[in-house]
Amino acid sequence: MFPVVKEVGGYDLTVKIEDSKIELLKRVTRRYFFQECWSGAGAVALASLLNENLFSQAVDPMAPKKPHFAPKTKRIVYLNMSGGPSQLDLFDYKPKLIELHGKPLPKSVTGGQKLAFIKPGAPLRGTERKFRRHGQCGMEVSEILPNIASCADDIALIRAVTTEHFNHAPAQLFLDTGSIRAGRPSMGSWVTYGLGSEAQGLPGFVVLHSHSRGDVPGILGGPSCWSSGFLPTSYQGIALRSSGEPVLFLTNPPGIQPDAQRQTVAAINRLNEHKLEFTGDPEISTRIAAFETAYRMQMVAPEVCDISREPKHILEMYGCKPGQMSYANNCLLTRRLLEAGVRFITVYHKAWDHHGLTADSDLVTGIEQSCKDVDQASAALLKDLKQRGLLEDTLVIWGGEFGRTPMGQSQNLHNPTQLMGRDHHINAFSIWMAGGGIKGGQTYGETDDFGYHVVRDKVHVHDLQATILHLLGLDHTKLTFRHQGREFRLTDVEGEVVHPLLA
Amino acid sequence: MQALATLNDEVYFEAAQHLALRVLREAPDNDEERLHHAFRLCLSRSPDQVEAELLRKTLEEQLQIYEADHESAKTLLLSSSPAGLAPEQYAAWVGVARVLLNLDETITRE
Repeated sequence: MFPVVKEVGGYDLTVKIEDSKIELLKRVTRRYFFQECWSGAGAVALASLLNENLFSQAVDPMAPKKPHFAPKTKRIVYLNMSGGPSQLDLFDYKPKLIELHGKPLPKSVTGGQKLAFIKPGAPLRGTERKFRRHGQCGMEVSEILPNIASCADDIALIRAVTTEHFNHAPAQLFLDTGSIRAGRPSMGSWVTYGLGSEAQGLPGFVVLHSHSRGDVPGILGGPSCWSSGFLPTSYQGIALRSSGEPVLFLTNPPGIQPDAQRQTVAAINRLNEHKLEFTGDPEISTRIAAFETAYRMQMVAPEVCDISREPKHILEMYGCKPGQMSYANNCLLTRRLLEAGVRFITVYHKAWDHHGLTADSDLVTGIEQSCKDVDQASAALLKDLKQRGLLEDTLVIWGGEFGRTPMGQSQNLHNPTQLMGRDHHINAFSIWMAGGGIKGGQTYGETDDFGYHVVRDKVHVHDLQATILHLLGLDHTKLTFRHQGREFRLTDVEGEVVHPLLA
Repeated sequence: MQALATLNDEVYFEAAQHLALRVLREAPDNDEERLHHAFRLCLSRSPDQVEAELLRKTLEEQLQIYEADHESAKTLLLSSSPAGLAPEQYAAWVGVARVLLNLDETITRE
């Protein structure tokens, strides 16, 4: 498919002012440049320098590809707890903070670090939550996540996760794309680029959203968090809506029957393919694939996305509310999508930014509601995957973009010793993983007595990303894409696989 | 997804219905010139030989669909349909308009 010089057929030679203006404008477009101005091998070489993927258009971008080595998992579910869940009230018990409640941290601990909003000398906050040991492994988990706690023997709890960014949007971008600069591909896009997709009629990378009462919808990192960045747009994450039509415009306009739609899409792509042959522009290839996917999605998605088809006991196991936006609905939908071949699903639940300024956003009432919203369904998803034999090759990750400080925020004016919230904390927070290739029933990494710094087995966000890719059979240093003159990868220039986490 | 929007969103569909009416109103009374006019309106250029043939084929296919399905043809029509044209013919032109409005070259801004 070389771009060749052809007789400029079809251009009206009648000289009108409008036409010549159009012709002039055309000469500066990318398409015209490819199409008309070059010939011979030199031209081809230059064209491919301008667009390194010039010759990839013949290949279906979503065709399944082999990983670098044998994978331990085939599918990823990222239960992304947007806002920063308070690990000190959920997963990392620190009695020292109870003892020192109301007193400031020693200066030696905070060491002049720049913090989000809180001052380093702010009073410490002891947790009011009771922690108990769970499972055969005796994992210590807070009383407000009882269902997740009951899965302790399947879970690897990492208490030593660190990040470098204390505001939501950059931290979310960092977690999802490996960089705080918007424009990089998200993890799901990298994975789809590396492995393709086996989901017929569904996107390879799906994103779902929900939020708790008191939080407004829309994660702060925005759609950049599931964007394909500089990768071909076929690898974009597709956000499904949790109520109503799963995707907007899934239904044909009135009067258009399915076979008429099929003929229409075929006619569109016939003309597109002719244009593709003429110009060699791989974006047309993406467009052709998008229309095929759109048509197949119309056929497949309505059924897959209809959770009301599930038996009553399953809906109850998750705690679903069919017809409404809910995390539980999204978890059940996730299982259906996984069964239909979707490889990477991110389920965002926005609910965890407990600074303590209002009852809905504090660690007394607010966090209880957030936990109620996710606890049952998260555990149900694990159990449901396990009973269907899917958990052993599905990796489930649960966690947010950062944690929360040992110091408290928002003093209760009626009860001045009570601190209602915590600020953002980057030096240490908790994430858990289960399933595909993970050794369950372990806690990995440790924080100091104040829960401020990691003291053993630090896991940086890039290490987490490297490990996730490793489980999929991908070497994070080899899954690259050339852009703006250099090779890029999800983990940028860092990241080590955390082998002790693996089974 | 953008593809679903341009295929199925009411706004784009109405645009296709109006484009069909405009072509039928403005172009001379034969299919070849109508197709040429419709193509030019969407892409600011004339179709090459292959494209003209593909357009002809598209019109034929759409006509076949609506000759077999009068009910759907009637549903597609706007209230102000051109006099002297059978519903299935007008519906076929809406089909062609829809195809043209969804072409990569029509959608892509450069």
